[in-house]
Amino acid sequence: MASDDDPRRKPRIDGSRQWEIFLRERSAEPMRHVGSVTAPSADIATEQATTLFDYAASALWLCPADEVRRLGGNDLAEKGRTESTGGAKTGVSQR
Amino acid sequence: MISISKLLCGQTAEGDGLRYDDPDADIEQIREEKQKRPVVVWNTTRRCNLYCEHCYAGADLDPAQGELSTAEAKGLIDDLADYDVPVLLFSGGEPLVREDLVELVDYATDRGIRSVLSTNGTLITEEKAQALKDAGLSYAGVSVDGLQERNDRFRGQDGAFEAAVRGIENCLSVDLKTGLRYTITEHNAADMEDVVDLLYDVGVDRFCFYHLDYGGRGGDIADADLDDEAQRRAVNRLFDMTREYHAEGEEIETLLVGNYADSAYVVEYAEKELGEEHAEDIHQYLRVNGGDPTGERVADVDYRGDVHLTQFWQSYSLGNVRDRPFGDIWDDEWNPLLARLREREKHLTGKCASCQYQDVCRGSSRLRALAGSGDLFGPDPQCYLTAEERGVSAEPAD
Repeated sequence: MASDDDPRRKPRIDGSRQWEIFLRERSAEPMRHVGSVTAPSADIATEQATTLFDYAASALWLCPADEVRRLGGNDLAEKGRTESTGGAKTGVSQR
Repeated sequence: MISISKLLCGQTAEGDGLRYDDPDADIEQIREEKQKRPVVVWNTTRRCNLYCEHCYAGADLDPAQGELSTAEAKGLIDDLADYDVPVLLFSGGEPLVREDLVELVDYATDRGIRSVLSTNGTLITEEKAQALKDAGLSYAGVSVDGLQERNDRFRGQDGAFEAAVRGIENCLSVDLKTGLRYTITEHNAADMEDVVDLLYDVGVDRFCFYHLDYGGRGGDIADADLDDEAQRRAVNRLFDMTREYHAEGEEIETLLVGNYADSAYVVEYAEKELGEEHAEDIHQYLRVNGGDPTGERVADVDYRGDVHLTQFWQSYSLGNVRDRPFGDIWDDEWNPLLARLREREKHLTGKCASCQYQDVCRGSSRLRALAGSGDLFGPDPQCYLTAEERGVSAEPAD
């Protein structure tokens, strides 16, 4: 497995980006968050979101997840901290 | 997950309570009220020491940004316990590369969640197996995808087969229940029986066979998926092999995962081999089982906290557990995709719409349907049933 085409030598991150999806069913209703898609380009993300939600949407918005500033939310670390002994050994806490 | 040994040979096993509502089962079952909650697969990390061709998680050797910390992981486990999740499957990447795995298994066990592990087995020393057992781990499923040469090529590392078998032996040596996970493709279908025979001699008695799903790198090798005839041969062989083992008094547990055409096919098989009465009993079990569990009886949380409809469908996330507790995300049927998936019988098209086995299959994989036709509710391209088996006179023009 040490040849030049060893898959372990190839780039692992394919450059895909996560896109948050917002949907409005009817014009009198607010936009609501309905999850996210991960895709290598904006066009493919749009195509995926359309496939999954077009039937239900009068409007569909996509926003790069890494452009969203999040305040509040579910503080998992606070919930788990009292029992934690080892701290964050395996990753960082930001998305 | 379809227990072939249960359906064809009447075997009961721990975990059947999650697949069948069988009040007559003669061993302790997971409590009935918890069956309404999903089994949660947690991809604890994206890191892995191997590089498998079919990895749905697209695992890497290097750490990925955004993994849940130990404290966050415990917060997640608290949320899952509060939601009465019955089983947490620690998966990856390779979960054993996380230094805190034993601590997290211990924490989940303390919170009343049954902890199970999906691993490539290569990092399980006897000491690690003992620590996991002591932490309350109930089961370790070890992935092997063929005999030595084929498995090592598939997994991208020489010696992976031997290391996995050593890992299995280490688990068994500390009395930690261990089973095989095997993804069937055209490259390794011929090895299935030999791998079962080999691992049975080692002491394994649970064998779980997965159909290929088209998520992550699995989508890159969709052309290695079995064609209809090859699938029928492989599934038939598994049925026969299970019965042969049981006929010899060797009560192996065999399961099929990922293609619910198998539900229909096992009923058809039973009608021919075991008689109509037994076949109807099987059909009734499978009606309770409910067919494909995506978005209902199985859920996935990835390494950075995104919640998915199934572990194989990583390209779409319902939301993130850093934003909302898992239960709030899972119960939010305002999401039209989640709501439609949970009533998918109303939306299935093509040959699924008229199939007599819709009640035990439910269209099988929506991810493969998307990959095959771009239609979320179109037929699963891996359905190998004939028109006659589906109860229609001719193939529709899908």
